[in-house]
Amino acid sequence: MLALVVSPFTYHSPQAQKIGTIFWWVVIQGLAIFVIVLAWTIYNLSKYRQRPGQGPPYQLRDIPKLEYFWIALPILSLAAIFTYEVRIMPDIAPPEGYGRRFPQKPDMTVTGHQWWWEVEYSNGAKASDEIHIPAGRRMLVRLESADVIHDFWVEQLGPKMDTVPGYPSYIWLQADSPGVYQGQCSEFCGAQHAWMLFLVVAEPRAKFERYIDALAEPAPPPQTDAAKKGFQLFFKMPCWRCHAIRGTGAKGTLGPDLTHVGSRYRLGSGILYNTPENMRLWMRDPPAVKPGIRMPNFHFSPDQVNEIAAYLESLK
Amino acid sequence: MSTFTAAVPKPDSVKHHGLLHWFTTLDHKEIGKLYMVTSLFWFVVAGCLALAMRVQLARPNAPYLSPTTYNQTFTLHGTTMIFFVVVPVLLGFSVYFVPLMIGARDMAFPRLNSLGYWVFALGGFLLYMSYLFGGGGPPDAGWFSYAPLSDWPYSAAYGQDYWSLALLLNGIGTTSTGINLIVTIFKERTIGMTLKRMPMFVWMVLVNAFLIVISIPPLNATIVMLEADRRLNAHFFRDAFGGSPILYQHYFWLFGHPEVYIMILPAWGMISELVPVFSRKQLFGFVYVAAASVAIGFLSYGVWVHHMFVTPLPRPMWLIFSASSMLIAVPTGIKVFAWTATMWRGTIRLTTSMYFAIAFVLQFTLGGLSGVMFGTVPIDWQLTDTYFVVAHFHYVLFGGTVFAVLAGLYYWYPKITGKLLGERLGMAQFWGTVIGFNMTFFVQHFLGIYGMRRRVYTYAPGMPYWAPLNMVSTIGAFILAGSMLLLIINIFRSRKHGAIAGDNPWDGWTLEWATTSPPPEENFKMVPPITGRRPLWDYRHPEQADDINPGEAPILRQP
Amino acid sequence: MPSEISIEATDKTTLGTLLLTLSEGVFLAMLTFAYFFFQGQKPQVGPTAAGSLEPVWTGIFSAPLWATTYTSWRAMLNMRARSVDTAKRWSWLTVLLAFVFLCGQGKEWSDLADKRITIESGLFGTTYFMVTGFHDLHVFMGMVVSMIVLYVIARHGAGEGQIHAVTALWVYWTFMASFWVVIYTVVYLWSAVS
Repeated sequence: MLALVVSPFTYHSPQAQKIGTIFWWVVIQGLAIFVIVLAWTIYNLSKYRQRPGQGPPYQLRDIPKLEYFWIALPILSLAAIFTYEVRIMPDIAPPEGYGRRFPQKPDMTVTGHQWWWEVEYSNGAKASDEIHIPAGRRMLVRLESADVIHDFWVEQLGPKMDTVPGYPSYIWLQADSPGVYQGQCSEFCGAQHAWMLFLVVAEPRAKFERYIDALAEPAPPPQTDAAKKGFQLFFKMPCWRCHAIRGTGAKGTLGPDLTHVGSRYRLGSGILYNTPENMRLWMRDPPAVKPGIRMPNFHFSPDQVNEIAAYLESLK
Repeated sequence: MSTFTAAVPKPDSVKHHGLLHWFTTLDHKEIGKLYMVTSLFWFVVAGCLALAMRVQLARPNAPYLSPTTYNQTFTLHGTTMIFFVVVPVLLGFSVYFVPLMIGARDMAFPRLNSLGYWVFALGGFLLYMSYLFGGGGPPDAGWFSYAPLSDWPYSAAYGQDYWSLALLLNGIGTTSTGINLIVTIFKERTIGMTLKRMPMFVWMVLVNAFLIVISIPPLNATIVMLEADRRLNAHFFRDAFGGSPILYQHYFWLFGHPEVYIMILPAWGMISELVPVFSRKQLFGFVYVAAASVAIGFLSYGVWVHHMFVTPLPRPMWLIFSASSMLIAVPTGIKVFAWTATMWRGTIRLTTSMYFAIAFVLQFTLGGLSGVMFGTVPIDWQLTDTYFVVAHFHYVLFGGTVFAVLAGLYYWYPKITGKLLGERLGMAQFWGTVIGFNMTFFVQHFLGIYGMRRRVYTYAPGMPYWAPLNMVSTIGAFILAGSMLLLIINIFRSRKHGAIAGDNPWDGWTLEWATTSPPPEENFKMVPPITGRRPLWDYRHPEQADDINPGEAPILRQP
Repeated sequence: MPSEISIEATDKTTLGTLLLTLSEGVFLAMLTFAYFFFQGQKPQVGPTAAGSLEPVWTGIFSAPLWATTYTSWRAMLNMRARSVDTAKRWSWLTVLLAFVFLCGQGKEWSDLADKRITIESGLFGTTYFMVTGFHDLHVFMGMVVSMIVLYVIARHGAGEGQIHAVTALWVYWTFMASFWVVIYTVVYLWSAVS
């Protein structure tokens, strides 16, 4: 289900395609220069090794024509790369990376936090660590940060861009065909930078619309006994202070939005798959799973763990 | 030459022995040795930190280092290697050899020379004191410590302040030595040595010293601004009051980019000295190489934004700096071709030193070419902050500078100590280092292409090729470490068993070879006549002399 | 003035000091640019320059610092002419003038603190105190070095080294005064027009 193949040979978006093309061109040019230097060195070493009794060679000072040649050649090849670069950049990223006065309304806003991702769609729906897009359409994403500098990057789908507090930035997010792509924070942001993952789920247009409509709905009320107890526990313990669950009184913004956490693929920004065992593993001792995070160990009893997990699982 | 009359004792008029000698010496040769030995010590320390990182990364989800410990480790590894290993060892060679190469008795300011070293030593010591007194331990925000991560409250403990203090001290020491080198080169050259007749190493050190003098202040400014934010509640980098995290990056990289040239220029100088000697031929295109170095000095101030291509900036800014970053590759190319053309039609003597130099040329070329890739904005958008950039800078810094320093060490060790390093042990070290280095870092290019981010303490098991590539890299790191052990063994063995070097074991041409090995305290009994760039060559091969001012009568001079 | 301005004619000490002022100049320029950059941003949070600073009053107290260019130059001329006592008087005058300048700065800072403008009050406070603070620190260090040189002259007379030192001090004071022109313009004059 998770298309995690990150191959330099397949591209899943037009942006990645353009980057791939210029990448290979520069690699080939670079390798050509390296091969020339290598070959000439090997030639020198084989032909001009000192033989016994050999005196000093002719003290060649310079060949100006050769100097001009290898000033001109790099300039020309670099100029070609630069020209191509200028031509393709408008196809890869929105006009201004720096967006204080960006005219267009974004399709979604992604905010980086230590160490999770928040996404808000244009219909007001919010989620964490999982972004859905309609396949084939180019989405304009506004990037913000709530604390330090993070970086939003899905390597199969295109370029990366920093999320800088106070300086919103913009990228395009597009996938040619449906699939699940993994992204990861790409600017060192503290203790759990390594596990600040997110998923981009590209799906057919209709499915996407249904998704964000469902996302905007408030959380379903708990049905089972365990879930009901878990719901009460959620408000008895400080959970509601940090997390938001739409439709309840929980409006916390310190931690990920949990309104529909039950339908997510993964937990803890990608450190665990969303299974019943993992949900309970997380609730038992979050810092043990992800050391350094702000969510403490609440020392729940095994029953309480079960109840909270049951409630959260029910939030589909 | 003393700057005060009477009463104040002349430098080195009081002879100390043992440890007190090392603390009080003002002799540039002793201070140069202090720099080299201290750098070697920090190299071992930072190398061990690197091995710890590689052990942690060899397998996915390894349990050896906690996230915070890993972050502290890579922060210290980078900070130590850059500020306390590479720059000081190059300064050590500069401070040792520049006065010799220009026929001077010592540096222009011997006491300032000593101050520069001891302040740097204090800085290194302080950085590691953070283990004991840093509150939460050593700094862990990375060697460039971006705000707001390095600001309060995200890095509240004192470790970050130790980083700031250590680098401020180091900056003072480095700037002092930079000033000292410039004044020495301008004022202490022996008679007959015009600027045009200076050896290439001295030219590179001159450009380097100017870079130091002008580019360390931005680092100092950045650090004091950061500390003002952290401890005085200032708002430079906090967006709540309108401050700018992006300003931090501009200011830091205004230092940071010239810094990387500070870390390579003297190395280029060393290569430009020993490749000609081991090819028995003068450096090809000397004037072009010198001009290229000056050009790089100026251009290095116009490229810093290429470290910020993924920051939200106006597109024209990205493009201008992309163009300038590509442009700076051209003078570098001139040098690579110059060294290769020096070997061409030469008479090549393959000593250990020359092996390291050839490896340098090839590895540095690779590193430079991957650097050009980062000058191309769309490629940078894909590859920056991945292991591709880690591979790039290790290729230029290790495969480049460290290999050049090793070449310079095998070349100049006989001059410094009077003994030769063992060739067999040296060749064994060479192969271990080359294989270990390339094994460690070449695969990291692929890790980057496959998307592995940098500065991550671990990674998931399912990622394509990450686990085997990391394992190969780790094995390479241990091979590399083992080869460094061979170097240390070689140094210790040569003290007892090394062959006597004599004045000029390699038949070199510059002035340091015109005196004993090691040189006497006053450097020269007599300075040979300076008739050109290679005084000893002209002396020995008058029929093939490269005298650039024919007809000038040589003067024999006592310094 | 030296008979020719070239590297050959300049002594080591003065050359070294020139390089030092270049280095410190870049440092102060970075802090000044930060002031300039943030002042240009509107709207500002916290107290701003306009209305907080008094350019005329500061200008009066800046005159002593600008005068040190002249007084340290006279000290240098007298040292070269071997009139050591006159040179020492000019040097002490330089130190005094710098001290007066610093007193003015101190009064200004305490006035700002009374208005609740500190390094934490906002971007103006932050950038203002950093740039003037480090400039004033350099003036203070100049005073200290001047006094050390005066002590050496008192102990060891006017040798070659001491003449070079006084020349170097002239370079240093000229640099401090020149940089204050920049800061005065960017900080005080600009606040008057904005």
